[in-house]
Amino acid sequence: MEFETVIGLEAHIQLATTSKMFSSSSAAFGAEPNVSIDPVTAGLPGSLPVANRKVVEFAIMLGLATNCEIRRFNRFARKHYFYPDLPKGYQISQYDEPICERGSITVEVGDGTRVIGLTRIHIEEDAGKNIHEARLGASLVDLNRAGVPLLEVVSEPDLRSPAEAAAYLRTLRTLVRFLGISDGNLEEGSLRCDANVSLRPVGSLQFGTRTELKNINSFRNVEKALEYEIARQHGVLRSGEKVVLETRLFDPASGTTRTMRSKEAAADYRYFPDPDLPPVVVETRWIEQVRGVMRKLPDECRRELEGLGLTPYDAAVLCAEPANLEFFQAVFGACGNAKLASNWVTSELFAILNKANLEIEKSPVTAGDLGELLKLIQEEVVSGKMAKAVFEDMVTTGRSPRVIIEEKGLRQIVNEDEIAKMIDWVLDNNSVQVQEYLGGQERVFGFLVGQVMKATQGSANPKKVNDILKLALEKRR
Amino acid sequence: MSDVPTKPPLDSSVVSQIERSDDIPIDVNAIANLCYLEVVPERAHHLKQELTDILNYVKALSAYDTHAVEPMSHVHVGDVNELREDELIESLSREEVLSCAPDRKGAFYKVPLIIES
Amino acid sequence: MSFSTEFSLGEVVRGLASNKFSVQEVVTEYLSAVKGAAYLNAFITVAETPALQEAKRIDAVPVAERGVLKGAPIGVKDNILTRGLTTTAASKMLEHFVPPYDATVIERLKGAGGMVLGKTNLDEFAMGSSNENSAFGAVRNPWDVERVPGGTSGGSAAAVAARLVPAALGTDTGGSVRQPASFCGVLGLKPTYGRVSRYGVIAYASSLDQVGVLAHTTEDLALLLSIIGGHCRFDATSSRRPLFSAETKFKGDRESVAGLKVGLPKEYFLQGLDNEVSAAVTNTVAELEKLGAKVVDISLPHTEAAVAAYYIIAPAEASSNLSRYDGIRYGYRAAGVSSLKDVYRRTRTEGFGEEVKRRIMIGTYVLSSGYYEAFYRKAQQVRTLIARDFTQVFAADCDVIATPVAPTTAYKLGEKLTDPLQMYLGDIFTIPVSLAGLPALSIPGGLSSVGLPIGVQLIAPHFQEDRLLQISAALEPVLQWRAQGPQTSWRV
Repeated sequence: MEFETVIGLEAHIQLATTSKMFSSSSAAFGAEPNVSIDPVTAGLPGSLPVANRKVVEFAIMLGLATNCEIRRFNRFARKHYFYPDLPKGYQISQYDEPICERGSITVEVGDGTRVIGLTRIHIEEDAGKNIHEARLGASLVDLNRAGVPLLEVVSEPDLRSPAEAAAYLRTLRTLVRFLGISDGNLEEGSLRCDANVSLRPVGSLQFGTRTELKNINSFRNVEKALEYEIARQHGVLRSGEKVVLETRLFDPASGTTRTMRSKEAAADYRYFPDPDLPPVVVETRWIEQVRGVMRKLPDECRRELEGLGLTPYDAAVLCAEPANLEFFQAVFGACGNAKLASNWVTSELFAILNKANLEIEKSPVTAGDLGELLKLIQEEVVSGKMAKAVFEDMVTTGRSPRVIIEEKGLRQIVNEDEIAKMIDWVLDNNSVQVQEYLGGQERVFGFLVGQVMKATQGSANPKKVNDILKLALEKRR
Repeated sequence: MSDVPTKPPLDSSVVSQIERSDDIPIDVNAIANLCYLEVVPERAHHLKQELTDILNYVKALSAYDTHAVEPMSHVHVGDVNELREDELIESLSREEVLSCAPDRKGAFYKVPLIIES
Repeated sequence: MSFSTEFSLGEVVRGLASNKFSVQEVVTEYLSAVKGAAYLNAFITVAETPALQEAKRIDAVPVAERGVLKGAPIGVKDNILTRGLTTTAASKMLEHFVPPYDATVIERLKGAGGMVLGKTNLDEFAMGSSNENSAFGAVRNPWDVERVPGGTSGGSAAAVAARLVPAALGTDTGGSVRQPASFCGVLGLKPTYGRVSRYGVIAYASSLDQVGVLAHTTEDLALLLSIIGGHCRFDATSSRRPLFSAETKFKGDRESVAGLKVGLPKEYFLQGLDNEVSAAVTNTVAELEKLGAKVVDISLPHTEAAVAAYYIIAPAEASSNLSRYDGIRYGYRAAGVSSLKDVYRRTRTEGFGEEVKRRIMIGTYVLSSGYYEAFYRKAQQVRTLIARDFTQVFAADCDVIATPVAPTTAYKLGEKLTDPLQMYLGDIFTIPVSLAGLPALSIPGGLSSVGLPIGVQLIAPHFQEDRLLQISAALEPVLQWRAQGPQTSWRV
């Protein structure tokens, strides 16, 4: 029997706010343990949550970007369970009233696109971190992350392969990075992902029994974990057994998944509306205000770049990361030639960044300097060939192109009188070759060009040399 | 999708069962497990009786017609959007907060080693 | 003029303001009264040393620069956080908890030149009706030490009645300011839900909890409410509606009562109500009529459902709010346990008292899967109906409502302890107001034949505390409740 893979993803996106979801201590990543703390974060008696306006606005933004319906009347709910990283004994979340519902994300897979449905997006607070010290026989609790705002994005079970799942997650990551609402960093945990996987006979409309995979913390692992789990479920079904509804933990070291807990022991979270937090009402006016300050989405940016004459491939490369696009836009702004800017950013610049394993934010050449160099090429101050030498110098020294050109005398000679003088001098000193040319041996022309370039140390504009040399030779006929 | 709620448990059979029956099904140990309280066996029967009495009393609410009545989750219905701006406010120091802890290790709270079941 | 602990808060403030006596004299006198009345067990922590130090410091500050309270000491219920001063909620769970921050009401009290004399006893985590559920022992009623002071602000009510402090802060979730005020013969104001910040108040039932004031005069209630009330940025449920200032005087002239329509809800005067309690309400209302008020019969048809709804909603919220007491970040942790689950189980089993555990169990049950709809959601719907009852009568029939506070006067210690349900039913008259989030005032409406105080409850629409205070000011000279102090039988 042939099986079809059915995958749904739950992504947790940590939002790039200054303060926490319900209190005014820092939401920054990587601080010393337990410094981002306050009565609310520590769940001290008497402390009360107050919701962060920006989080609601970020949720609206992502909802708009994914074609969701935005709920007008929102309430927060308490979800109860005991764990040391959960200071209040409940997590503040949204339950049956998520702020965004029924959206979609268009994902490029292979040569085509697929529309993946979004069930919901809701706001919740993150938990702290437990650090297990078997040596001490103890677990240590750091509450810095407790209360950091999250958006949980739940997809419909619309994904049909590990590759699609990875592509979906990449698209979502690009989206939140373009919106500026999260850095979407899987390794640092600001984007986390759980997957629901099941198999069903091809043609069947019913879903098979699913398992939930946890601890998938890189794009590579998304595919690896899903591939392993799909193969495992194939094995189970082929041997005539049944897949057990359970949560499985992915182990990146072995590339396998193992049982974490079975659903029979499912927790009873006792959700109810949080009485400490008044409802949040999202009126149309507020949605429009948010829309007004929303940054452009990757798709729109790509269309704009293609409109400037860039190839779809280059446009896609530049729109993979907001920082790429920003860099390109700054270069384009300085030189005024989109195609030239795109070529230099995607080939010369990316080559050196890849070689040095640098993020574009850490580029040794600033967008302004690169733009300046491209402007000089267009003004014929420097030839394209020379420009590459200038660029290499810029990379190593960080100096501006003008300084390098002046210092190394790389300025192109474009003055026609100056070139004509040089040509006369060359012709005077190569009368044999001039006679050969005039006698019909046209290939000697190349030799004479070479002599002119040599005499100008390569700084003469080759096209002008060509034109003027032809005229000068004719005059000597 | 463990963390994604389906609808709240509107199980009409349970509702009507509770409204009809004289005795409410109470599993004292199951409740105690949920909220991490211990019930000593010799108290269990008495406690169950107390809880049953109270729940039988509050069950009287089923006599009220609440069809199309909104549940009152907040007192002042018009008071909404009480939000804070995304800014930092100086609060307690780590030491002030951690000094309340019954057990700690340096800058961390300390608990017995968590063993994933 | 020499200082007397019989003074009202206003009189203490005026004496301090005119340098008739010093803060140190005032504090010393009250501290000695507290010691003399130790048998009442009204305080869990007496801030003797810090209060004396603070008194000395304030005495050095010129009167004009002190803030409106001028250094007057106040009693504070021990579920309100006081920075550096142990706050227990009358629970073993928090026996040694020294809060690192002040509740908003304490910050405001201190900012207005007030100080905390001590932390008053209560039912553990404010759960109870008699102040017998305290991990630190029951409080006794100064009118008859064999009787309960009421709960849960029993320590605050007893301390004010016995003149151990001029006034005190309490909290009221289902009647916890009003009922002890009634049992102890003092004024008790529960403001509108949202009027006073809950930040730093140990939560019992978040949608019902409200800080209130217990005192001897209308002036004192108004003064303290004006100080502690108003919007707080750390409590999203605190209201932005304007509140009268500390300078506002409630004169209690005829004009403030003339034409007032006072509603008497028939559901509150059913058989079984103590005759003397009923008479106290009738007499009080008769005094208002003499002052020009009109009495109208009204109906609040869902009254009977209130106790049931309350004993679903409050335990549900409590079971959630008390989840944080897990032995990890503060408070009690059970000794000799080696697994995390045992830390949770043993800590909570040993740290909480019986009534608290009972309510956590009920609350957990009514929120659990399969029962949420039948219990919790249903109760919240009935709550809407109860609130609607009040909205309708205030829109159509009357300006205020007068009712009994409690079905009986103070009962004997231990009398109702064995039957939790009977104890719950004693809250029948205070609970509807709590569910609707309305402001209500308990005023002393006279004494029973055996000399026990009887409170009368006045209820106003949302945020109309000023209306209640106007009526209180008008009744104050008529009812002369200050003349009726408790016998000093408790004095050694």
